[in-house]
Amino acid sequence: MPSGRAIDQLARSGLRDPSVLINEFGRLASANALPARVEADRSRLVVYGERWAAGLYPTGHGDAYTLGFVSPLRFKDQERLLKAALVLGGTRGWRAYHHVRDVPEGSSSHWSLLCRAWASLAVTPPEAAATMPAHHIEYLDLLTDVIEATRDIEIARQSREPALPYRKLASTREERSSARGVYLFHLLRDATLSRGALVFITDAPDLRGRVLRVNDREVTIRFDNSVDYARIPQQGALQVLPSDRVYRAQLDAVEALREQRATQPHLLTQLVDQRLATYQPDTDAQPRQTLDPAQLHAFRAALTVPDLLLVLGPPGTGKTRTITEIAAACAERGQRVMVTSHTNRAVDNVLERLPPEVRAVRVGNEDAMTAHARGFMAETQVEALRQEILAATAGMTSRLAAFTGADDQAGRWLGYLAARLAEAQRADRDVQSRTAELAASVERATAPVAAQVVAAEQRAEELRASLASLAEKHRDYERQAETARRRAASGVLAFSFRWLAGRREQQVVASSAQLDDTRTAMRLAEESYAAIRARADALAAADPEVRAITNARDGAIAMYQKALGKATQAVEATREVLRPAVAVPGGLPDDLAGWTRLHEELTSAAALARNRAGLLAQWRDQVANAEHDLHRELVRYADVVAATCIGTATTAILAELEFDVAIVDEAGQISTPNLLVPLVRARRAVLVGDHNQLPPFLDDEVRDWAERIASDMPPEAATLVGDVLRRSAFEQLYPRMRDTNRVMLRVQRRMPAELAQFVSNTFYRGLLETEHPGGQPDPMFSAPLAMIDTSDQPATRRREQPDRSVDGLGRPGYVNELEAALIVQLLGRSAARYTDWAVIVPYRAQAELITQLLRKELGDAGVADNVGTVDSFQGGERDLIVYGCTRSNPAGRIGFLSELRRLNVAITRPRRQLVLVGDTTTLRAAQDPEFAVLVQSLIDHLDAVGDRRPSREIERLLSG
Amino acid sequence: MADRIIYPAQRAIEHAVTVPGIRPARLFPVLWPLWQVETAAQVFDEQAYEVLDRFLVRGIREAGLLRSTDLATFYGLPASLVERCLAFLSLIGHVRHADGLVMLTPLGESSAQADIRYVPKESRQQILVERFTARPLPRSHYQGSLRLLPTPDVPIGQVSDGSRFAPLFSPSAFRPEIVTQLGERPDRFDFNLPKQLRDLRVLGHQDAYLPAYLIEDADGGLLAYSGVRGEQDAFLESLCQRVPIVRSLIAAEQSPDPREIWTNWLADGRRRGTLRQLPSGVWRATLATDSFGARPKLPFSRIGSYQLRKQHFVQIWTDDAELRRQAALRRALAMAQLSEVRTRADLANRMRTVAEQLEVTTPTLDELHRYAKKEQLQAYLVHFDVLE
Repeated sequence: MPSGRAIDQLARSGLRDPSVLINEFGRLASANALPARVEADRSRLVVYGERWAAGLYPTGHGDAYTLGFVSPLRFKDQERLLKAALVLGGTRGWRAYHHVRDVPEGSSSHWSLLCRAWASLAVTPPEAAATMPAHHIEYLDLLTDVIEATRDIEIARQSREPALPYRKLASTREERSSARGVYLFHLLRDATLSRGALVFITDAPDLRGRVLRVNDREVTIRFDNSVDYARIPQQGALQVLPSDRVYRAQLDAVEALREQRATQPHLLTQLVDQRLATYQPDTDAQPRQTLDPAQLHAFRAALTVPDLLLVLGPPGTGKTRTITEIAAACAERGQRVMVTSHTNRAVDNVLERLPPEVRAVRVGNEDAMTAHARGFMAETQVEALRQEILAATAGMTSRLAAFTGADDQAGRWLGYLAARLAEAQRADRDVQSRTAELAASVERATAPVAAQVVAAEQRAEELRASLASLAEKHRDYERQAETARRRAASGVLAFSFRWLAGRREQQVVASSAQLDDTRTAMRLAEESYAAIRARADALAAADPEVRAITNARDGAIAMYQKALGKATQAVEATREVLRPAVAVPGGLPDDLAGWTRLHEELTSAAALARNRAGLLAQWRDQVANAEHDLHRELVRYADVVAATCIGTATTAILAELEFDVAIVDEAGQISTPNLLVPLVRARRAVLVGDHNQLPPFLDDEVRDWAERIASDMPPEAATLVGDVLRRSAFEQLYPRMRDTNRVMLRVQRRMPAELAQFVSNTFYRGLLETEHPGGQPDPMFSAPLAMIDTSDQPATRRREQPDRSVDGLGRPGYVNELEAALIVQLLGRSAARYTDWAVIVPYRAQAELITQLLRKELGDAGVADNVGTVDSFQGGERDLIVYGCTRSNPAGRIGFLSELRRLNVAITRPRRQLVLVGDTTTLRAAQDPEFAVLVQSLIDHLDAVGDRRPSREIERLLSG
Repeated sequence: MADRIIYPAQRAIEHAVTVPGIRPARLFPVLWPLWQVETAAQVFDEQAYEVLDRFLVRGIREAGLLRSTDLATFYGLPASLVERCLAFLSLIGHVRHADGLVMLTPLGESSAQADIRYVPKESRQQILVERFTARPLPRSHYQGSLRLLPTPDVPIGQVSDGSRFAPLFSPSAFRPEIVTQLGERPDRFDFNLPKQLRDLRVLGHQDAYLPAYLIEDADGGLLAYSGVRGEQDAFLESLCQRVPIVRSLIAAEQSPDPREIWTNWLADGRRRGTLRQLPSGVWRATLATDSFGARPKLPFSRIGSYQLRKQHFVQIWTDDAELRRQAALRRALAMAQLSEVRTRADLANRMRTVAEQLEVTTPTLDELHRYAKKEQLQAYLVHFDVLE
């Protein structure tokens, strides 16, 4: 019902009849496409057609609407609808009336229904759960920032690296698959240049190439395109292009998490929130080698843990053994295992101990591997496999040789067999037709007596039939007579049976006579039949045609038999040829159909043999040539793939692989960005490490960056940045894990008990137990834990000196000449007593000084590898370890000696003897309170179970 | 502005005025409603066989080696390697194990026959559907550069010229058949659905809005411009024909007298100038020469460009041909900076358009070079020099 205003508006717009509008509403509603809004405050419904918006006011009776206003549809209406809209539907149509009274009974405006629907729109549906929680996104953003900052610092550093001058340029004999130039450069100095690095010629920056090989100072470079040899200077310098390989791998891992592409879909939740699934360790699983209880526990947990297991392995507790067992058992269960670590050495340690039946492949930079590990490289294995395959298939190849050449022996025999079978078939058909002819011919020849023959035969037949029935009857009579005789012998009715017996005997006699007569008649009939038959035969035999046909038939039979005889020979020969190559059907058939089947079977066996021969030849050919494809497949089908964390991502060969389990060794040394690289590619992970030993390496510049940005960040974020950089994921996770997801290996078998006890108390809350047989005592010291205390020397003599040889970069170094002299003298005396030894000092300068002096004392051999800072010794062990503290000053400045984890690594290397060299006055006075406490307890421990000796006394002993 | 939702309205107008027979009158920036439908389909990745897998498959197929031990013996391979390879083939659906025997599946058989390792993979992709008519968007709308908005709100700072985009509303509801039926059309390729994608399934859908400019012709026709490369968006124009509501909305917008709008504009900016309607229907404001220069004057680059107000536009002009030529050179240099301009021919083409627009002769590339040097605008030449 239009209001007057609406009628005016409609009229102004050229729409005189409201029913046009109403019909449009009806049409849209029937298509479920009529939008509307409830304006509750004005108690009206606004409906939007294709050109008009109409304001509808519900009537008092709730049976209709008054059309209050009409306005052309505007853009702002669209905006309103986008905020909230009802879509009206209905097929009953909309109707227009001029008056309320015209509205039919039972009509409804559905106003309250629309109001309710509108109200329910206002309740905004809960925000669809974000695909990733905000703190995960923040975490990933932060990782990205840290990685990018580290990358930028590293690239800037690489760009500052000096060029590598070369003195000579030479061509090579390198295999060339394109016109790209390959040349050899003789460097002037030793340089750390790795295979695959991108370099360019300093004077001709457009000449870029990749390092193909490094052999001492000889560097082979493959240029990116064909290079004019004359353009390369004969002497010049190579500049290494910065590589962001490592950071790209790290960023890719973060992106994989961000895009939820990680193989383990909940990895982020596991790492960030430590939300792990419950599981039962496989308590039935048995390792190949004996494991102690904690190792066994770790082993069994690792086999079934669905997400993450942390194994804390203090020094000497058999981490590698445990890892090896886990890897072998997982492989045996058909799982694809990744063994990874921060360093190549740790990866190789595991690889070297894997049982031979585990298919292991080592992937990565050959230069950085142990010789043994190189044997596991896909490249090496391809060669071995190639030999193995060629050897293993040689026998089969010779057996199949008969099927490869033009001389097809089996084919010839089969052809012969087919021809013989054809002959046999022809002969057989001949026999059949001759037989039929013969019958006709005989019939004709014996025609004169044919009727008699038939009659005689019939007569004999009849008599034979009646004789049979008489004989049956006679046997009945005999049985009845016998029964009657038995009953007549006794009993009440014996008399009547006697009578009966008499009767029966008469019957027997009578039938017996009849039987005899019939027999006689039959014999006569047979004789007469034989006679007439003989006559017929004689007639036939005398007939020339019958004779001729009979001969022909017998010839055909002989032919048939001869053909089959030859066929049998052919079958045997074919079998002989086929047998080495394929399974052959046995037996000889009874009929021709059987022979045909046998021929078919042999033919397909021969075809199979030829297929096999061809296939094997192609296979051997392929194996001899397709090196690269085999590489990839060896990796894909390996049980265990071993690579460094970064190597798992930067090797194209691994790109497409996902792993069932990643076993990460030295996890305490691996920063989160590095750890993520292998973890995003594995369904579950076992992290093995010890956060009480060396933490991840932190570059000084990166540390400075972190400190700089920390001031601009909320404290939690700054802490997180610090954690990402300074602490391994292992260290962050271990304390927060449930006991089901962490195991501590507790029994160490490396260090003597006296030393181990101190280590256990200091670093492992006394939980570390020892199983150590002890050993030969050192002649100089009374206990495996000894110290040469230089505090007895005059300050001027024992004092440290700052190292002046360093280039000014990095942290200041120190040398201590007294300590160096003592250590060198001590080793001069003791080195030979121990299988192996090492000197560990905190400063590189001190290590260089000692190396220099030791070379004079012991000669060059093996000195350089056995003197160094802690970093080179983590994971290693020696019979004798000498640790020189180096620092000696009145102020108690001990520098990074105070990094207890470094000290832990240093003193936990010895198998038999630890000798500390240091100035207890300085160490006790350390400004770092934690360190001071440790030193005091060390001195107490030394005084209780060790051997602390004044340095002058040792000097005397050594020089004496 | 790298992440703007669409190019400035200016560019659409510049094009519209060149379309023969069109007398552009008004411009309406709109957000056209779409469904962005997440679909999954099966696709067979065509891979080359490697060595072991090919020979194991051939061993089964041609040499009747139906046990993994037989295969290992025959090829002289370690049994574990054969097992692993068969496991891989089984994982990709090429072999199956039954009663201790290894057999090829139909997929394995057809792969072997074609000597292509078909690996079934799930492919996910988004299909765009227009909401008013439930028509799928053509392939041209799937360029990565096309920006869509998830809501009808334009993020602040993503419109370079202050255009206010009016969102359009469609009451129709989504039905998965809209997309699954698309999979049965022979011309599905034209809708970004190559035939290699089989078994199309709809996983979900969400709203999306396509920013576009609709330009009204004096005769009431509509030209449509969206971010789709090329000049006009023919698909959107055809929709404008089919969706009556769009015409109604535009017709309902009040249209004040353009002369009044531009007289006021001149007055507001205290600019001296004259107004004229060109035969093309476009209004032109010819300003005095001293209207151009450093701020607060109008920059030279504005010469020949269009000023928008209340859906109308006016071309800013000067009668000083030298000034117009400078404006042409400046704009050409700016074009040389665009990353989409890769070749000298392309740049020359664009320069011709600009010159036509400014009614000057087309400058040569050398001329442009000299101008940049003279005006100390060498920085602009960096990109210029690397044009192919």
